[in-house]
Amino acid sequence: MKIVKKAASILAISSLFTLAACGGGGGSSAPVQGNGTAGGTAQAPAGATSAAGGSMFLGMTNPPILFNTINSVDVASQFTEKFMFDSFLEMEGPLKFVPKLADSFETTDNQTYTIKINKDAKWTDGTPVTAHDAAFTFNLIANPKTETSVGSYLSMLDGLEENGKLKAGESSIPSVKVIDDKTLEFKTKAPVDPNMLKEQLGCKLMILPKHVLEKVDPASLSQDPFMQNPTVTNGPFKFVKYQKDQYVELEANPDYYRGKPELEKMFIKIMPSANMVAQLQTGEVHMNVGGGIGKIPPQDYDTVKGMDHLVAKDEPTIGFQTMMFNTKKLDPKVRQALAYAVDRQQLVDKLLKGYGEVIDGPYSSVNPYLDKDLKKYTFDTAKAKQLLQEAGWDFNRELQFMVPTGNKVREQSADIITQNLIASGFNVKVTKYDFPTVLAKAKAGDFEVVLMGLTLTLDPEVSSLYGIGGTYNFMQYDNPKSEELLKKGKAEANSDVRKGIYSELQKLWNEDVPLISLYSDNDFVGISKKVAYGEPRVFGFHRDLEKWAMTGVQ
Amino acid sequence: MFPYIVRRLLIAIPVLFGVTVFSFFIVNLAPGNPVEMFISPDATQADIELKKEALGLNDPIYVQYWRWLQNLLQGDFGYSFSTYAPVGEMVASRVLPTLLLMGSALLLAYIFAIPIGVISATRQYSWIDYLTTGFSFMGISIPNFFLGLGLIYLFAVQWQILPSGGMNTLGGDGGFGDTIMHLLLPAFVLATGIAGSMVRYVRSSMLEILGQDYLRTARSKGLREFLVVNKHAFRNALIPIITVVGMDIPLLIGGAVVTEQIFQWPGLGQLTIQSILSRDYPTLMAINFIAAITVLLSNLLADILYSVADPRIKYN
Repeated sequence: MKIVKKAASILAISSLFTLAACGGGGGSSAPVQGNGTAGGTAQAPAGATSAAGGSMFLGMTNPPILFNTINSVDVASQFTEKFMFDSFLEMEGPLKFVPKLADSFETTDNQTYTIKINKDAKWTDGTPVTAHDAAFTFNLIANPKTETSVGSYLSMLDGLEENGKLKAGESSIPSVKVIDDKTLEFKTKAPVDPNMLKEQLGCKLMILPKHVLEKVDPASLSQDPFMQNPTVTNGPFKFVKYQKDQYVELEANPDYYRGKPELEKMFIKIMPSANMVAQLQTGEVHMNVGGGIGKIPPQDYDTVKGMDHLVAKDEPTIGFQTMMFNTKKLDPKVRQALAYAVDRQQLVDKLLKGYGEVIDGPYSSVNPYLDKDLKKYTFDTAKAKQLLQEAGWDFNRELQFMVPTGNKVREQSADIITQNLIASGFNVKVTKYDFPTVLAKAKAGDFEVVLMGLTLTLDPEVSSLYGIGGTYNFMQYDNPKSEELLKKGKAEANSDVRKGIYSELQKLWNEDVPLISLYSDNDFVGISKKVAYGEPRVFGFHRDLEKWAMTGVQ
Repeated sequence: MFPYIVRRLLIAIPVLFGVTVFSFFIVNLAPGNPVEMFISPDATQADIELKKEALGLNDPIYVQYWRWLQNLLQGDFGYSFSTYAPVGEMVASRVLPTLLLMGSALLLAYIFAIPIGVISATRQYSWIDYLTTGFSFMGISIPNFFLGLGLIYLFAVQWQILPSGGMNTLGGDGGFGDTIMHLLLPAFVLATGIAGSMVRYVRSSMLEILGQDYLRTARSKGLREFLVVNKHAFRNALIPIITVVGMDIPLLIGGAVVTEQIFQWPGLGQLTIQSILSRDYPTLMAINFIAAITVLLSNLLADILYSVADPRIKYN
């Protein structure tokens, strides 16, 4: 009896262990089944397959969320989609457009536009890419039942409601016409600067295959399995699989209309930025993709530069960090004082190791619309104190400074800024929240100073930031003069006249300081010397992916 | 025993219900919502309004909860607010990697910790004892992220004998051996922490028993020391150990957020963090629900094991 009980107790204890072990066995079998790709046995980390074209491994820090080209808010998804879907045009330099899916994207009167689609362009299932696909996608975006995040690309089209959606009872945009299989024509409500359309509609929109999705109810399009597994695409690479948060596996599209890609496979690996440098060093990734989604921490720049098997490269971007002021709580003099109080050059030198620039408005030096004669706010503590005294600022009053967590460099910049503000006599109270909380509080106006990063377009239209009711206008900035000029700038089709309008705006914002830009950081990337062709670019990253190649046998 | 188990399981139902109500409201109380995360320069106001309506966020919270509960009772966790994929599938695909990682970590930890704890207790104040308590102290104290990054540096960067992260070699044909290679570092990192505290529990629990009179009796009747320790003492030292094991099991599901992040292990921890940051309510609720079930079950299991280990404990 006793023996039996003892056996039972041992059994019970050991079953505890087996439970754990079972979990183990079960867990390991799933990924093995899922991993049915060809290739040798698992070997040393890098470059596992040694087939003809070879594989390239890109490193990215943010995981893509889904592959719905008309409903992806995150940059990582949009970036990944562009390997599989082509846009009409590519921008290979600031406002320099080159054809891609479209042979031409033209207008004679800045109001009626004609897009001619490449005659050889095919979906991966062999069906030609036609103007019908483009019209189908346009109509989906304008359909008030479709969940989309790109409505602004089309909101200026003629025949749509004020909100950019179809009129009740209509199912297609009246001003969009399919002229023939490869020609699409559309008309805007008023003349617009063609560059504005080309940058958004031309370079960012990726059209969907009509023959695959036309039977799907627009209301449930987002939930359609196609958006997780885009099997019919028109770009240089085809979707193989997405191992969530680990990697996206792509393979060459042999029938690509711009030529069969050199590479056989492309992997986009996802990892925290702390691991990026280690993986570049071991050769597990061949480059980090840069941008907001594949950064190396600035303290590692020198390490990367010192690696013999890598080439380091940096490029200015259009992204920038700002310090936004609540204009309802801080008057213009105090805002100017805050702008003088911050040592922005130190942020660039210390935090970005010099790889960046101090900018004053929403436009970085890459932007052709930047007014280079703009008066700069220099670091001047005395001037800040003087302005505060003039404004009758109560130096005992707490200044509410809100900092979002997540971006390490930005969090560090908050520490320097806080020291600067204290030096100018501010009584700063710093609070840190996660990003969703910061957004909610910023929207509610529950802050005085907040740090926020933005990447807008090269086109100078920034009413989302400075306009009344703009998505990013957390400052609640509402100067009527600025509002009028913003409207004028948006409606002006001549780019020289526009330049004048936006110069005037930059001067106005510089006086009013609803926000002060802190810095625009350069894109810093390391590229393996095993890469024969291809490198991350701020403009036109996806321009000629079909030519990307690895050297010799890996 | 059997009626006891049934009773416990029945009690679990209202508890689970309470947990879901509580967590649903807590999750909704967090500032910010999924649609605010949606702001993008490309989206129009109409796009944002539509999304809010489509996700049902315009309804009062209790209506949202009722809808969620109805779906759950039909076995449907709904669609994710951010990826639009079915939540059930998303969570299921994470459970196995997490079980694999945490299971091997726990197994590894216990295999080493229990004998070491016993040896350490039987040779109290010897150099072995000092060595093991020293190491267990280190195991508890070293932060996982630090140990993890250190091991990546040594094994993946310097010596290049183990991969630095992920679960399979990309482009390889995978295979069980490949997964094991990827598993070694993260499992070891997690095991050190668990083993560190386990050694301590086993040692102190054994020390208490070793001073008991019945062990002197056992020795005086001429029983070999090996049997005294492993048969009489260890069995009686099991009760506190079972408690610790019962508390460790929920970790199987909870995962290890930091370790998963460092080693890019595609487990529940990573999914949890992402769904918190994107305020993905349906996914968060599903993870909460599974975690609650695991805690309830492992408590029950520990209670059952008590009575197996110590027949004096009876449940009626």
